[in-house]
Amino acid sequence: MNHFKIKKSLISYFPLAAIVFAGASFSSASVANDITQIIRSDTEQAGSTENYLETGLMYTAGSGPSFGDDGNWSGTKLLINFSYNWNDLFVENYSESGTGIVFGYNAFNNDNWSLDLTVTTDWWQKNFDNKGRYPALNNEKYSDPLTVGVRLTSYLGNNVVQFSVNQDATGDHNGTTISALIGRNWQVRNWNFHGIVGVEYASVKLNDYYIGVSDARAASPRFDFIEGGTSAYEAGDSVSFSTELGVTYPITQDWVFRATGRVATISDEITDSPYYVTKDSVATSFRTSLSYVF
Amino acid sequence: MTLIQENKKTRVTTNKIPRLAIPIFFLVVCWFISVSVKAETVQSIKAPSNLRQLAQLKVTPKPCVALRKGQKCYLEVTFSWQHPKVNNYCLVNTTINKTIRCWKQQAKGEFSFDFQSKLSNNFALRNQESTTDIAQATIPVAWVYKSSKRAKSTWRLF
Repeated sequence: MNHFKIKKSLISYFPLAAIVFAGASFSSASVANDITQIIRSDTEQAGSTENYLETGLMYTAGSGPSFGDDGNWSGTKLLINFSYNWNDLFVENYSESGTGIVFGYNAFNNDNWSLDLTVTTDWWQKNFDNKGRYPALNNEKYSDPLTVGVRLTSYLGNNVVQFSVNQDATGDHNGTTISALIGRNWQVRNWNFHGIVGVEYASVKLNDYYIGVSDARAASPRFDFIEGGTSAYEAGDSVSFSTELGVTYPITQDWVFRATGRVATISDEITDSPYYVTKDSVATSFRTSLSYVF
Repeated sequence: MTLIQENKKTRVTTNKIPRLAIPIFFLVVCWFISVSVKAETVQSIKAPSNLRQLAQLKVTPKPCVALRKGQKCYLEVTFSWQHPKVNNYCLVNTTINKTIRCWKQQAKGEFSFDFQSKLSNNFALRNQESTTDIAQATIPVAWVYKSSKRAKSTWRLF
């Protein structure tokens, strides 16, 4: 355990969340006039998204807790966004969200509310905040747990509030996540800014499935890098606060530029796992992309 | 050490795209954009009569592109016009029927202004105190996303 590179932030979760929320609030307030104008003139309603396909390249970089000595990472990957709707059934994929492909059914929809039932095989494993959700970590012969969820979205003027509950449906771990997000966007000339503040709860079963360490695993060569080995670890439930600020700009009718910064707190319940060598309690990331909309 | 190796494996997956792919992609992007811009080059619309055939009204650049249908589009545009005969002329937004600017005893002129609209707008050069168009031009408003409905996905607000 002595070899762990502990870099705990002195900032506790709640003050950080307060800073993040204040930042987003200030950003919104500073362009209140534009927001008001958009709300007045906007005819947008809740409901199904359009059918479309978008592809491009996305560069991402960030830092956070890591299984190695270096918590910094970067890379370029293919961006594929698409959405297809048919009779209230939909399939969607947004590379910026890190949620993977989502299949769903729009069960209820009016001007201000939308309720979706969703199915996905991805527990935000491709998210930009490393929460240790790598199925192969503890199970070499793994299959992605099937996730079913309920997603309630409310459109209040230019604000969007979204609540989600997701549950393992195939009994791999019987874990649960609950999340709440509030976001808004505002237009400054043709630049479209957005800000989101969110909180996510992950259950004991979910965390323990991914980054818990059994007695047998603790005794395996997996932890030979720790002098004297390690003891078993049982992860608890966790709460993560996050925020992101981003901008989208239409270069032409077909090309779109995006840039987004994101900060999220990572619970001690996650980083206390022996898998983590770099134990940062805050994950930051930046991503920018250029994409073509068909 | 196995741990670090596994971690490296994880990172490698984020760099599957060969490095050459990035410059090639951006070259293709630049080519597409330049082609798009050329396609949108200035077009003047000439009026049908003999004198009007020689009158020209141009507006650059265009089109005005907003992200989503229903959004207001912003664009700094420049109108330039010319006419073989010196006279009093006005530039009129015929979509909202509003005179933008007039020139006295001129045969050509130029005017820049900040276009802001949710819809395409038509413009015309007219003799002052006349409602007949001598030359016409349009600023089209286009969108990337054709639906005004919002995306619902987590973390994606538009």
